[in-house]
Amino acid sequence: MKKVDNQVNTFVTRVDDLQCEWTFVDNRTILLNGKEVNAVIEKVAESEISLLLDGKFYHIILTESATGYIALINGEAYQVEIVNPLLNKFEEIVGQASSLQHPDEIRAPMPGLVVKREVKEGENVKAGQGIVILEAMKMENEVKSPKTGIVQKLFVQDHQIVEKGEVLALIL
Amino acid sequence: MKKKIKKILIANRGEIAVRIQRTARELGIATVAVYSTNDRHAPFVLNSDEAYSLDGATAKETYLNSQKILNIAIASGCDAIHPGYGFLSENPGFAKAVEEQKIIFIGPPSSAIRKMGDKTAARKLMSNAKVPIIPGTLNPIKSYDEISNIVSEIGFPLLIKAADGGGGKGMRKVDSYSELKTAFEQAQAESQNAFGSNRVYVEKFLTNPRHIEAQILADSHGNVIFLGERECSIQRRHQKVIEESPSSVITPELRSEIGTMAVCAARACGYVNAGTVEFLLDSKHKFYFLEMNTRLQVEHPVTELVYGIDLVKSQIQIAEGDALVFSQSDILPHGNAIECRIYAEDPENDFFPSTGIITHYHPSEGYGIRNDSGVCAGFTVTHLFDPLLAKLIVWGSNRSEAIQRMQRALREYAIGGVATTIPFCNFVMKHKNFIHGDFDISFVEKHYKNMESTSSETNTRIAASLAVAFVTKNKTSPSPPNSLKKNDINRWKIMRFEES
Repeated sequence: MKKVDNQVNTFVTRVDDLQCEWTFVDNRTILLNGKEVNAVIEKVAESEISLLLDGKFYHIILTESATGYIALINGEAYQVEIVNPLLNKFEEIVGQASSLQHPDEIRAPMPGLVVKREVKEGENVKAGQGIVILEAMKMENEVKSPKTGIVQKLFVQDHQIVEKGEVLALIL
Repeated sequence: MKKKIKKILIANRGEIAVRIQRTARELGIATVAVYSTNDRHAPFVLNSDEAYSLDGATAKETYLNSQKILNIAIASGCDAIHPGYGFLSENPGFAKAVEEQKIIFIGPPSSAIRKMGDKTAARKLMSNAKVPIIPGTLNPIKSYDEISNIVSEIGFPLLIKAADGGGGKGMRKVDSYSELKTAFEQAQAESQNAFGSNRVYVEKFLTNPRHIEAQILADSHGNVIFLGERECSIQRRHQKVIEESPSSVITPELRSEIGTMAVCAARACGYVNAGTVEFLLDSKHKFYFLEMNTRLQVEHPVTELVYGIDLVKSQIQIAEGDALVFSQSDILPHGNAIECRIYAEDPENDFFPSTGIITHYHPSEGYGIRNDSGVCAGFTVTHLFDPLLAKLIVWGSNRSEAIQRMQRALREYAIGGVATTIPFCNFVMKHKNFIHGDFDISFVEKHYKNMESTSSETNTRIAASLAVAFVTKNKTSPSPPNSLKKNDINRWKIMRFEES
C-alpha cells in the first residue's frame, strides 16, 4: 500500500451505497481505497471522459448535479455524490454554498414560479405532504416534504420566481 | 380550389419546426421561422430560409402571440402557416384569423378545431355519432360546489380534465373527497395557464387502460383514410414518453374496429388534414373515445416509418387542395417502429425538469434510426418551454428487432449538461413487461417508481465514480496559468488557501 500525504489529491465518491476513496498519486497511478487500479483515464472534451478500467472501456458523459455529477454510461445514469469532507470544509470557509444539502431544508429542484404555498409557518406536516406548488415549463409540480415535522420557516412568497437550489422552507 | 404553396411560416419551435422545414425543403417550399429571445441560436432558426424575432422570452409573448405571428406571415409574404403541435395549433381563433387573411392554415378548418377543442362538446358529438365515450359529465363545471355534487354520481377514482385543452395539462386524478378541492383548483389554474380557460370537466377514471390512438388523413374531397394505430401507454404525469406502431395488443379485428370509429369521428366534425383520434382500451379490450387531436402529433414519426408516408407532405398536399394519392387498400403496415422522447427531465428525481447548457450532444446513428432533434451542443434549456429536446425513433422488421435496435440506439445517445429521460427509456426497453407487451398506462408507477435500486454491475459504478473523482481533481488542483479555465478560478483559490 502506498502512503500519500497530499490530501488534495484524495477524493471520496458515493454511488448508492458504494463509497470509494480515490487518490491520484501522479499522472499514471490511481489508488482505490489505497490499492492501485489498472486505469487509463482521459478527458476527451468538457464533460466527456474516456476510461479503460481493468481492460474494459467506458465512455462517460458527466452532468453536474446538486451533490456531484450524473454519469451517463451506455444509456444508464449513475448519480455520483462527492463526499470529500476536506473540500466541503474549505467551501464553507470561503463562504461558498456547500455541495451537501442540509437535511431540514427543502430546496427548489428547478427554477420556476411559486404558484402557491400549501402550508403555513408553524404547521405540522407529514412526510410526502405538499409544501409549495412550483410552476416550470408550463407544468405545476408539487414540492413535497421529505420528512414529518414542523414548518419552521417559509422563505418564499406566492408568485415569487425562484432559482434552482434556492431554499423554499425549513422543516424541523 | 388548388393553390401551390411557396412559402410557409412555421409558428413553432424546437424539433417540430425542424421537422416541418425538412419536408418543406424537399418540396421546394421556403420556410420562415419565428423565435423567442432565447431561441435565437436554436437549430430551427439556423435551418430556416428567413427568421424573425418575436421580441420576447415567454410563450405568451412569443409563440402564443397570434397577432404578432400573423403580421410577420403577411409582411414576409407567406402563403401558408404550419402551427406544429401545442402553442396555437389547436386554437380555432388563430386558424380563423389565418383563413381570413387568405393564408392557408396547414391543419383542419377552424370549425373542426372548435368542435373537437371543446372537450365536452366533442363528447356530445361523439356520443351522437355512436362512438363510445367514457362515463362522465357532458357539460363543463364552473364551481367547487358543482363538482362536489357531481362526484357522488360518478364515484372515485375520477379525472378532472381541461375542457379547452389536451396533452395531459390541466388534468388531475382524484382518489377521494379530501383531494378534490386542491385537485380542482390545480386543474383550473394549470388549464388557465396553458389554454387561457379554466373550464374543466369530470370523467370516470378507467383503471389501468392502454392508450391507443388512430392516425387519420382526410382531404377536401371527402376521402378519409386510417393509417393504423399507435400505442402510447408509457407515460409519466399523464404525458407520453414512449410510443409505438403497431400496438402489441391490437388484433386485425380490433384494428379495423378502431379504424371505422376514427373515420366516423373525423367525418362527424367535418375534418380535413392530418388528425388523431385517441382512445382508451380497457382490460376487456373495449374502446372509449378520449379526444381528437386536431393537429400533427409529437409521435407521428412511428406511423411514418411503418406506413412509409411523410405525414407533413400529406398535410401540405391536402392544404393545397389535392386529393389523397392513395386509398385505404394501399395502406399496409410494414414492420414496427418505436419512439422515445428525450426530455430534459431527471427520471431519478420524479421527472423534474432539468435546465442548463447542453455541453455534449451526440445522438445515435445507423440503420433504422431516425433522430428528430431541436437542440445542439451549446444550446441552453430554460424553464420557459416544454422540455422536449429530441425524439429518437427506430424501425425494425418486427417488434423484437425494433426493441433491440432501440436498446442499441439509447446506449449510443449521449447528452451532457442536463439530465434526460434516456436512462428511463433504457429501463423500459429492457423491462420484461414492455418486451412481452404486458403493460398499461400505470407502467411508470408500477414498475419504475418501485424499482429496486439499480442492479448494474459494480464495475460500472466504480468507473462512474472514478470519472467524477477525476474531473473533481482537475477542477481543484492548481494548474499552470495557461491552462486555467474561468470556472476553475474559485476552486483554485480554495486550494491556495489550504496551502497557506
